[in-house]
Amino acid sequence: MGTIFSVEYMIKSFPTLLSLVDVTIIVTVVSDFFAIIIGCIIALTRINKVPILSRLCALYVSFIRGTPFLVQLYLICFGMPQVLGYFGVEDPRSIPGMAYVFLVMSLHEGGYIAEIMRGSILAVDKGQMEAAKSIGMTGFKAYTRVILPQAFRMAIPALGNNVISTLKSTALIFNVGVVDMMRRAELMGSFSYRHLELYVDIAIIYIGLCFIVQFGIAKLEHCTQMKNPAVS
Amino acid sequence: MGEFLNPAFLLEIFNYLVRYVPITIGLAVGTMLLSCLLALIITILRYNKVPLLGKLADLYVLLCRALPSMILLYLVFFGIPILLMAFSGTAKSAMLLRNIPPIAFAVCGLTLHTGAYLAEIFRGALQSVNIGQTEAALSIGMTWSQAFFKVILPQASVFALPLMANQFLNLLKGTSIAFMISVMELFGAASVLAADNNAYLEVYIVAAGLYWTTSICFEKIALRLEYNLSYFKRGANK
Repeated sequence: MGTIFSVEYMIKSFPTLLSLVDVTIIVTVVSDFFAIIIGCIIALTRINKVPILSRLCALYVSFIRGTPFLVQLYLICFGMPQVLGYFGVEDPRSIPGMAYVFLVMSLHEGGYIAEIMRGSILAVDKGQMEAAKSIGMTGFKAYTRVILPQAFRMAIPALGNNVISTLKSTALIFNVGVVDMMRRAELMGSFSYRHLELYVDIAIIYIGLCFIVQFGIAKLEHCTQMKNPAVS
Repeated sequence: MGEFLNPAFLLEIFNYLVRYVPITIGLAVGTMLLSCLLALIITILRYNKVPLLGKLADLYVLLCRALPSMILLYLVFFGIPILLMAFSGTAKSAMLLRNIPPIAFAVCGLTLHTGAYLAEIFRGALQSVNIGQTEAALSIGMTWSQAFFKVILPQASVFALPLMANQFLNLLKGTSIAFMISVMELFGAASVLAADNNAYLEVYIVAAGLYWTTSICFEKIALRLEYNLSYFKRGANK
Protein backbone atom coordinates (compact mmCIF):
# COMPACT_ATOMS: atom_id res chain seq x y z
CA MET A 1 0.00 0.00 0.00
CA GLY A 2 2.96 2.30 0.16
CA THR A 3 2.38 5.05 2.64
CA ILE A 4 -0.39 4.69 5.14
CA PHE A 5 -1.94 8.08 4.61
CA SER A 6 -1.17 9.82 1.34
CA VAL A 7 -1.57 13.57 1.59
CA GLU A 8 -0.67 13.83 -2.08
CA TYR A 9 -3.64 11.71 -3.11
CA MET A 10 -5.86 13.68 -0.78
CA ILE A 11 -4.91 16.97 -2.43
CA LYS A 12 -5.08 15.48 -5.90
CA SER A 13 -8.63 14.19 -5.48
CA PHE A 14 -9.93 17.29 -3.73
CA PRO A 15 -10.94 19.15 -6.96
CA THR A 16 -12.71 16.07 -8.29
CA LEU A 17 -14.86 15.86 -5.20
CA LEU A 18 -15.36 19.59 -5.00
CA SER A 19 -16.75 19.57 -8.55
CA LEU A 20 -19.74 17.61 -7.24
CA VAL A 21 -20.55 20.00 -4.43
CA ASP A 22 -23.25 21.59 -6.59
CA VAL A 23 -25.49 18.54 -6.10
CA THR A 24 -25.35 19.03 -2.34
CA ILE A 25 -26.05 22.74 -2.59
CA ILE A 26 -28.92 22.35 -5.06
CA VAL A 27 -30.58 19.69 -2.94
CA THR A 28 -30.22 21.83 0.17
CA VAL A 29 -31.58 25.00 -1.43
CA VAL A 30 -34.46 23.42 -3.32
CA SER A 31 -35.64 21.23 -0.47
CA ASP A 32 -35.39 24.03 2.06
CA PHE A 33 -37.41 26.28 -0.21
CA PHE A 34 -40.23 23.76 -0.46
CA ALA A 35 -39.83 22.83 3.19
CA ILE A 36 -40.51 26.39 4.28
CA ILE A 37 -43.69 26.45 2.19
CA ILE A 38 -44.82 23.11 3.58
CA GLY A 39 -43.86 24.17 7.07
CA CYS A 40 -45.84 27.41 6.87
CA ILE A 41 -48.93 25.67 5.53
CA ILE A 42 -48.83 23.04 8.26
CA ALA A 43 -48.15 25.61 10.97
CA LEU A 44 -51.10 27.73 9.84
CA THR A 45 -53.34 24.69 9.62
CA ARG A 46 -52.48 23.70 13.15
CA ILE A 47 -52.75 27.19 14.60
CA ASN A 48 -56.14 27.82 13.04
CA LYS A 49 -57.31 24.35 14.11
CA VAL A 50 -58.79 23.40 10.74
CA PRO A 51 -61.07 20.46 11.70
CA ILE A 52 -59.59 17.23 10.34
CA LEU A 53 -56.54 18.64 8.64
CA SER A 54 -54.94 19.90 11.83
CA ARG A 55 -55.10 16.38 13.34
CA LEU A 56 -53.53 14.98 10.19
CA CYS A 57 -50.81 17.61 10.28
CA ALA A 58 -50.03 16.82 13.92
CA LEU A 59 -49.75 13.16 12.97
CA TYR A 60 -47.50 14.03 10.05
CA VAL A 61 -45.18 16.13 12.18
CA SER A 62 -45.04 13.42 14.81
CA PHE A 63 -44.16 10.83 12.16
CA ILE A 64 -41.45 12.98 10.61
CA ARG A 65 -39.91 13.75 13.96
CA GLY A 66 -40.24 10.21 15.25
CA THR A 67 -38.58 8.28 12.47
CA PRO A 68 -35.02 8.48 11.14
CA PHE A 69 -34.37 10.39 7.96
CA LEU A 70 -32.84 7.30 6.44
CA VAL A 71 -36.05 5.32 6.93
CA GLN A 72 -38.09 8.07 5.32
CA LEU A 73 -35.62 8.25 2.46
CA TYR A 74 -35.82 4.53 1.81
CA LEU A 75 -39.56 4.46 2.31
CA ILE A 76 -40.12 7.07 -0.36
CA CYS A 77 -37.33 6.15 -2.76
CA PHE A 78 -37.95 2.41 -2.76
CA GLY A 79 -41.55 2.25 -1.59
CA MET A 80 -42.95 4.97 -3.82
CA PRO A 81 -42.22 3.19 -7.12
CA GLN A 82 -44.09 0.19 -5.70
CA VAL A 83 -47.11 2.37 -4.83
CA LEU A 84 -47.03 4.03 -8.21
CA GLY A 85 -46.83 0.61 -9.79
CA TYR A 86 -50.01 -0.48 -8.01
CA PHE A 87 -51.76 2.61 -9.25
CA GLY A 88 -50.88 1.73 -12.79
CA VAL A 89 -48.09 4.18 -13.51
CA GLU A 90 -46.00 2.66 -16.22
CA ASP A 91 -42.35 2.11 -15.44
CA PRO A 92 -42.10 4.07 -12.17
CA ARG A 93 -38.39 3.24 -11.96
CA SER A 94 -37.68 5.64 -14.79
CA ILE A 95 -38.37 8.60 -12.49
CA PRO A 96 -34.93 9.90 -11.55
CA GLY A 97 -33.80 9.32 -7.96
CA MET A 98 -33.26 13.03 -7.58
CA ALA A 99 -37.01 13.72 -7.76
CA TYR A 100 -37.62 11.39 -4.82
CA VAL A 101 -34.77 12.97 -2.94
CA PHE A 102 -36.28 16.42 -3.37
CA LEU A 103 -39.64 15.08 -2.25
CA VAL A 104 -38.40 13.31 0.85
CA MET A 105 -36.05 16.10 1.90
CA SER A 106 -38.80 18.70 1.55
CA LEU A 107 -41.24 16.57 3.50
CA HIS A 108 -38.69 15.82 6.20
CA GLU A 109 -37.51 19.35 6.72
CA GLY A 110 -41.09 20.59 6.34
CA GLY A 111 -42.05 18.62 9.43
CA TYR A 112 -39.34 20.28 11.47
CA ILE A 113 -39.91 23.74 10.03
CA ALA A 114 -43.62 23.42 10.81
CA GLU A 115 -42.81 23.27 14.49
CA ILE A 116 -40.39 26.19 14.25
CA MET A 117 -42.93 28.32 12.38
CA ARG A 118 -45.74 27.35 14.73
CA GLY A 119 -43.67 28.57 17.64
CA SER A 120 -42.75 31.83 16.01
CA ILE A 121 -46.23 32.59 14.66
CA LEU A 122 -47.64 32.04 18.13
CA ALA A 123 -44.93 34.33 19.48
CA VAL A 124 -46.16 37.23 17.35
CA ASP A 125 -48.23 39.53 19.52
CA LYS A 126 -51.95 38.83 19.28
CA GLY A 127 -52.66 42.54 18.90
CA GLN A 128 -50.99 42.50 15.50
CA MET A 129 -53.63 40.19 14.11
CA GLU A 130 -56.43 42.13 15.71
CA ALA A 131 -55.05 45.40 14.38
CA ALA A 132 -54.73 43.97 10.89
CA LYS A 133 -58.31 42.66 11.04
CA SER A 134 -59.60 45.93 12.40
CA ILE A 135 -58.29 47.91 9.45
CA GLY A 136 -60.14 45.56 7.16
CA MET A 137 -57.46 43.12 6.03
CA THR A 138 -58.60 39.62 5.11
CA GLY A 139 -57.07 36.71 7.02
CA PHE A 140 -54.80 35.84 4.12
CA LYS A 141 -53.55 39.37 3.73
CA ALA A 142 -53.02 39.78 7.44
CA TYR A 143 -50.88 36.67 7.52
CA THR A 144 -48.78 37.45 4.46
CA ARG A 145 -48.34 41.15 5.17
CA VAL A 146 -48.25 41.35 8.95
CA ILE A 147 -47.87 38.11 10.83
CA LEU A 148 -45.54 36.00 8.69
CA PRO A 149 -42.85 38.66 8.13
CA GLN A 150 -42.58 39.14 11.87
CA ALA A 151 -42.67 35.41 12.50
CA PHE A 152 -39.93 34.81 9.95
CA ARG A 153 -37.70 37.34 11.56
CA MET A 154 -38.04 35.57 14.88
CA ALA A 155 -37.54 32.20 13.24
CA ILE A 156 -34.30 33.02 11.45
CA PRO A 157 -31.89 31.49 14.00
CA ALA A 158 -33.92 28.29 14.21
CA LEU A 159 -34.41 28.14 10.45
CA GLY A 160 -30.67 28.61 10.06
CA ASN A 161 -30.02 25.60 12.26
CA ASN A 162 -32.45 23.74 10.11
CA VAL A 163 -30.64 24.68 6.92
CA ILE A 164 -27.43 23.35 8.44
CA SER A 165 -29.09 20.11 9.43
CA THR A 166 -30.48 19.80 5.90
CA LEU A 167 -27.00 20.32 4.57
CA LYS A 168 -25.74 17.58 6.82
CA SER A 169 -28.45 15.13 5.93
CA THR A 170 -27.52 15.48 2.25
CA ALA A 171 -24.60 13.22 3.14
CA LEU A 172 -27.12 10.37 3.19
CA ILE A 173 -28.75 10.79 -0.19
CA PHE A 174 -26.06 8.85 -2.02
CA ASN A 175 -27.76 5.73 -0.68
CA VAL A 176 -30.54 6.02 -3.21
CA GLY A 177 -28.42 6.40 -6.29
CA VAL A 178 -27.81 10.13 -6.49
CA VAL A 179 -24.25 10.76 -7.59
CA ASP A 180 -22.88 13.28 -5.14
CA MET A 181 -19.56 13.65 -3.34
CA MET A 182 -20.13 10.62 -1.14
CA ARG A 183 -20.91 8.33 -4.05
CA ARG A 184 -17.95 9.59 -6.02
CA ALA A 185 -15.70 9.05 -2.98
CA GLU A 186 -17.00 5.52 -2.66
CA LEU A 187 -16.29 4.80 -6.32
CA MET A 188 -12.86 6.40 -6.21
CA GLY A 189 -12.10 4.65 -2.94
CA SER A 190 -12.93 1.22 -4.25
CA PHE A 191 -10.53 1.91 -7.09
CA SER A 192 -7.63 3.29 -5.08
CA TYR A 193 -8.24 1.67 -1.64
CA ARG A 194 -7.72 5.08 -0.07
CA HIS A 195 -11.10 5.74 1.51
CA LEU A 196 -9.86 7.76 4.43
CA GLU A 197 -8.18 10.44 2.32
CA LEU A 198 -11.34 10.91 0.28
CA TYR A 199 -13.58 11.14 3.32
CA VAL A 200 -11.23 13.64 4.91
CA ASP A 201 -11.65 15.72 1.74
CA ILE A 202 -15.42 15.52 2.04
CA ALA A 203 -15.22 16.40 5.71
CA ILE A 204 -13.28 19.53 4.81
CA ILE A 205 -15.87 20.48 2.18
CA TYR A 206 -18.77 19.98 4.59
CA ILE A 207 -17.08 21.96 7.34
CA GLY A 208 -16.46 24.76 4.85
CA LEU A 209 -20.09 24.72 3.71
CA CYS A 210 -21.35 24.75 7.29
CA PHE A 211 -19.23 27.75 8.14
CA ILE A 212 -20.38 29.61 5.04
CA VAL A 213 -24.03 28.95 5.89
CA GLN A 214 -23.47 29.91 9.49
CA PHE A 215 -21.80 33.15 8.45
CA GLY A 216 -24.67 33.93 6.08
CA ILE A 217 -27.24 33.33 8.79
CA ALA A 218 -25.39 35.53 11.24
CA LYS A 219 -25.37 38.31 8.63
CA LEU A 220 -29.05 37.84 7.87
CA GLU A 221 -29.90 37.87 11.55
CA HIS A 222 -27.95 41.06 11.97
CA CYS A 223 -29.67 42.72 9.00
CA THR A 224 -33.20 41.78 10.03
CA GLN A 225 -32.72 42.95 13.56
CA MET A 226 -32.30 46.50 12.31
CA LYS A 227 -35.67 46.54 10.61
CA ASN A 228 -37.73 47.08 13.70
CA PRO A 229 -36.24 49.62 16.09
CA ALA A 230 -39.09 49.07 18.54
CA VAL A 231 -37.83 45.58 19.35
CA SER A 232 -34.10 46.06 19.41
CA MET B 1 -47.97 -10.89 -2.24
CA GLY B 2 -50.36 -10.00 -4.95
CA GLU B 3 -52.48 -7.57 -2.99
CA PHE B 4 -51.51 -4.17 -1.71
CA LEU B 5 -50.14 -4.17 1.87
CA ASN B 6 -51.19 -7.64 2.93
CA PRO B 7 -51.80 -7.51 6.75
CA ALA B 8 -50.53 -11.04 7.36
CA PHE B 9 -47.31 -10.21 5.55
CA LEU B 10 -46.93 -7.00 7.56
CA LEU B 11 -47.36 -8.97 10.78
CA GLU B 12 -44.72 -11.42 9.69
CA ILE B 13 -42.29 -8.57 9.01
CA PHE B 14 -43.15 -7.03 12.35
CA ASN B 15 -42.39 -10.25 14.19
CA TYR B 16 -39.04 -10.45 12.48
CA LEU B 17 -38.01 -6.81 12.90
CA VAL B 18 -39.18 -6.36 16.48
CA ARG B 19 -36.28 -8.54 17.61
CA TYR B 20 -33.86 -5.90 16.41
CA VAL B 21 -35.40 -3.06 18.42
CA PRO B 22 -33.39 -3.94 21.57
CA ILE B 23 -30.18 -3.73 19.52
CA THR B 24 -31.06 -0.24 18.34
CA ILE B 25 -32.02 0.84 21.86
CA GLY B 26 -28.87 -0.75 23.29
CA LEU B 27 -26.72 0.99 20.73
CA ALA B 28 -28.38 4.32 21.51
CA VAL B 29 -28.18 3.94 25.29
CA GLY B 30 -24.59 2.73 25.24
CA THR B 31 -23.56 5.56 22.96
CA MET B 32 -25.45 8.05 25.11
CA LEU B 33 -23.65 6.96 28.28
CA LEU B 34 -20.25 7.12 26.61
CA SER B 35 -21.00 10.49 25.06
CA CYS B 36 -22.15 11.87 28.41
CA LEU B 37 -18.79 10.87 29.82
CA LEU B 38 -16.95 12.39 26.87
CA ALA B 39 -19.01 15.55 27.00
CA LEU B 40 -18.47 15.89 30.74
CA ILE B 41 -14.70 15.71 30.27
CA ILE B 42 -14.83 18.17 27.38
CA THR B 43 -17.03 20.52 29.38
CA ILE B 44 -14.75 20.44 32.42
CA LEU B 45 -11.77 21.13 30.17
CA ARG B 46 -13.53 24.09 28.59
CA TYR B 47 -15.06 25.34 31.82
CA ASN B 48 -11.71 25.56 33.56
CA LYS B 49 -9.91 26.80 30.44
CA VAL B 50 -7.17 24.17 30.73
CA PRO B 51 -4.33 25.61 28.62
CA LEU B 52 -3.89 23.47 25.53
CA LEU B 53 -6.59 20.88 26.09
CA GLY B 54 -9.29 23.50 26.45
CA LYS B 55 -8.52 24.83 22.98
CA LEU B 56 -8.45 21.31 21.57
CA ALA B 57 -11.82 20.63 23.14
CA ASP B 58 -13.18 23.79 21.51
CA LEU B 59 -11.84 22.65 18.16
CA TYR B 60 -13.34 19.19 18.60
CA VAL B 61 -16.78 20.59 19.38
CA LEU B 62 -16.59 22.98 16.44
CA LEU B 63 -15.56 20.33 13.93
CA CYS B 64 -17.78 17.51 15.07
CA ARG B 65 -20.85 19.71 15.06
CA ALA B 66 -20.11 20.77 11.49
CA LEU B 67 -19.67 17.23 10.21
CA PRO B 68 -22.55 15.01 9.13
CA SER B 69 -22.63 11.94 11.36
CA MET B 70 -22.39 9.77 8.26
CA ILE B 71 -18.99 11.20 7.39
CA LEU B 72 -17.83 11.01 10.98
CA LEU B 73 -18.78 7.36 11.01
CA TYR B 74 -16.83 6.72 7.82
CA LEU B 75 -13.83 8.63 9.13
CA VAL B 76 -13.83 6.46 12.23
CA PHE B 77 -14.45 3.28 10.29
CA PHE B 78 -11.62 3.86 7.85
CA GLY B 79 -9.47 6.00 10.11
CA ILE B 80 -9.04 3.89 13.24
CA PRO B 81 -7.45 0.93 11.44
CA ILE B 82 -5.06 3.26 9.65
CA LEU B 83 -4.24 5.05 12.86
CA LEU B 84 -3.50 1.75 14.58
CA MET B 85 -1.41 0.62 11.64
CA ALA B 86 0.56 3.84 11.73
CA PHE B 87 1.31 3.38 15.42
CA SER B 88 2.22 -0.28 15.32
CA GLY B 89 4.00 0.11 11.98
CA THR B 90 2.91 -3.31 10.78
CA ALA B 91 -0.04 -4.77 9.03
CA LYS B 92 -0.34 -7.29 11.86
CA SER B 93 -2.77 -5.13 13.76
CA ALA B 94 -4.91 -4.99 10.65
CA MET B 95 -5.47 -8.72 11.08
CA LEU B 96 -6.48 -8.15 14.68
CA LEU B 97 -8.87 -5.45 13.60
CA ARG B 98 -10.96 -7.90 11.67
CA ASN B 99 -12.06 -9.34 14.95
CA ILE B 100 -13.48 -6.04 16.11
CA PRO B 101 -17.20 -6.07 15.46
CA PRO B 102 -18.47 -3.15 13.35
CA ILE B 103 -20.77 -2.15 16.19
CA ALA B 104 -17.70 -0.91 18.09
CA PHE B 105 -16.92 1.47 15.25
CA ALA B 106 -20.53 2.58 15.18
CA VAL B 107 -20.45 3.33 18.90
CA CYS B 108 -17.19 5.26 18.43
CA GLY B 109 -18.47 7.36 15.57
CA LEU B 110 -21.83 8.12 17.13
CA THR B 111 -20.18 8.93 20.46
CA LEU B 112 -17.93 11.50 18.81
CA HIS B 113 -20.95 13.04 17.11
CA THR B 114 -23.27 13.10 20.12
CA GLY B 115 -20.48 14.07 22.50
CA ALA B 116 -19.91 17.33 20.67
CA TYR B 117 -23.59 18.25 20.85
CA LEU B 118 -23.84 17.26 24.51
CA ALA B 119 -20.76 19.34 25.30
CA GLU B 120 -22.56 22.39 23.95
CA ILE B 121 -25.67 21.52 25.95
CA PHE B 122 -23.63 21.10 29.13
CA ARG B 123 -21.87 24.38 28.53
CA GLY B 124 -25.21 26.16 28.23
CA ALA B 125 -26.46 24.41 31.33
CA LEU B 126 -23.42 25.43 33.35
CA GLN B 127 -23.83 28.99 32.23
CA SER B 128 -27.42 28.91 33.43
CA VAL B 129 -26.23 28.29 37.00
CA ASN B 130 -25.50 31.50 38.84
CA ILE B 131 -21.79 32.09 39.42
CA GLY B 132 -22.61 32.97 43.00
CA GLN B 133 -23.37 29.30 43.61
CA THR B 134 -19.78 28.32 42.86
CA GLU B 135 -18.45 31.17 44.95
CA ALA B 136 -20.71 30.28 47.85
CA ALA B 137 -19.71 26.63 47.67
CA LEU B 138 -16.02 27.49 47.57
CA SER B 139 -16.38 30.01 50.37
CA ILE B 140 -17.75 27.42 52.77
CA GLY B 141 -14.63 25.37 52.15
CA MET B 142 -15.73 22.86 49.51
CA THR B 143 -13.05 21.71 47.12
CA TRP B 144 -13.59 22.50 43.46
CA SER B 145 -14.74 18.99 42.60
CA GLN B 146 -17.13 18.93 45.55
CA ALA B 147 -18.59 22.25 44.46
CA PHE B 148 -18.87 21.08 40.87
CA PHE B 149 -20.45 17.71 41.51
CA LYS B 150 -22.58 18.54 44.56
CA VAL B 151 -23.76 22.05 43.86
CA ILE B 152 -23.38 23.00 40.21
CA LEU B 153 -24.14 19.74 38.44
CA PRO B 154 -27.53 19.02 40.08
CA GLN B 155 -28.73 22.51 39.20
CA ALA B 156 -27.33 22.36 35.69
CA SER B 157 -28.92 18.95 35.10
CA VAL B 158 -32.41 20.42 35.52
CA PHE B 159 -31.64 22.77 32.67
CA ALA B 160 -29.88 20.18 30.55
CA LEU B 161 -32.32 17.29 30.83
CA PRO B 162 -34.90 18.34 28.21
CA LEU B 163 -32.11 19.11 25.76
CA MET B 164 -30.40 15.84 26.54
CA ALA B 165 -33.63 13.96 25.99
CA ASN B 166 -33.95 15.67 22.64
CA GLN B 167 -30.40 14.69 21.78
CA PHE B 168 -31.09 11.12 22.83
CA LEU B 169 -34.07 10.95 20.49
CA ASN B 170 -31.89 12.29 17.72
CA LEU B 171 -29.32 9.67 18.53
CA LEU B 172 -31.94 6.93 18.56
CA LYS B 173 -32.82 7.91 15.02
CA GLY B 174 -29.17 8.49 14.17
CA THR B 175 -28.30 4.87 14.93
CA SER B 176 -29.93 3.96 11.64
CA ILE B 177 -26.83 5.08 9.77
CA ALA B 178 -24.82 2.37 11.53
CA PHE B 179 -26.10 -0.07 8.93
CA MET B 180 -23.80 1.62 6.42
CA ILE B 181 -20.88 -0.09 8.12
CA SER B 182 -22.78 -3.38 8.24
CA VAL B 183 -24.15 -3.25 11.79
CA MET B 184 -27.31 -5.32 11.98
CA GLU B 185 -29.62 -3.07 13.91
CA LEU B 186 -33.24 -2.33 13.16
CA PHE B 187 -32.64 -0.49 9.94
CA GLY B 188 -29.88 -2.83 8.78
CA ALA B 189 -32.15 -5.81 9.32
CA ALA B 190 -34.97 -4.00 7.53
CA SER B 191 -32.89 -3.24 4.47
CA VAL B 192 -31.69 -6.83 4.22
CA LEU B 193 -35.22 -8.14 4.65
CA ALA B 194 -36.54 -5.71 2.06
CA ALA B 195 -33.95 -6.74 -0.48
CA ASP B 196 -34.56 -10.44 0.22
CA ASN B 197 -38.31 -10.25 -0.27
CA ASN B 198 -38.34 -7.44 -2.79
CA ALA B 199 -40.93 -5.77 -0.57
CA TYR B 200 -39.54 -2.35 0.13
CA LEU B 201 -42.75 -0.54 0.93
CA GLU B 202 -44.06 -3.01 3.49
CA VAL B 203 -40.75 -3.52 5.28
CA TYR B 204 -39.94 0.16 5.56
CA ILE B 205 -43.44 1.00 6.74
CA VAL B 206 -43.04 -1.50 9.55
CA ALA B 207 -39.53 -0.23 10.33
CA ALA B 208 -40.80 3.34 10.42
CA GLY B 209 -43.61 2.28 12.72
CA LEU B 210 -41.18 0.60 15.10
CA TYR B 211 -38.93 3.65 15.21
CA TRP B 212 -41.93 5.85 15.72
CA THR B 213 -43.22 3.80 18.63
CA THR B 214 -39.80 3.65 20.25
CA SER B 215 -39.36 7.39 19.92
CA ILE B 216 -42.75 8.10 21.45
CA CYS B 217 -42.03 5.75 24.36
CA PHE B 218 -38.73 7.46 25.10
CA GLU B 219 -40.35 10.85 24.78
CA LYS B 220 -42.88 9.86 27.44
CA ILE B 221 -40.10 8.56 29.69
CA ALA B 222 -38.16 11.80 29.22
CA LEU B 223 -41.18 13.90 30.14
CA ARG B 224 -41.71 11.80 33.26
CA LEU B 225 -38.04 12.16 34.22
CA GLU B 226 -38.13 15.86 33.58
CA TYR B 227 -41.10 16.20 35.89
CA ASN B 228 -39.34 14.26 38.62
CA LEU B 229 -36.13 16.20 38.26
CA SER B 230 -37.89 19.54 38.25
CA TYR B 231 -38.38 18.86 41.97
CA PHE B 232 -35.18 20.85 42.53
CA LYS B 233 -36.57 23.75 40.63
CA ARG B 234 -40.03 23.62 42.15
CA GLY B 235 -38.47 23.43 45.59
CA ALA B 236 -36.43 26.51 44.91
CA ASN B 237 -39.37 28.49 43.66
CA LYS B 238 -41.51 27.94 46.73
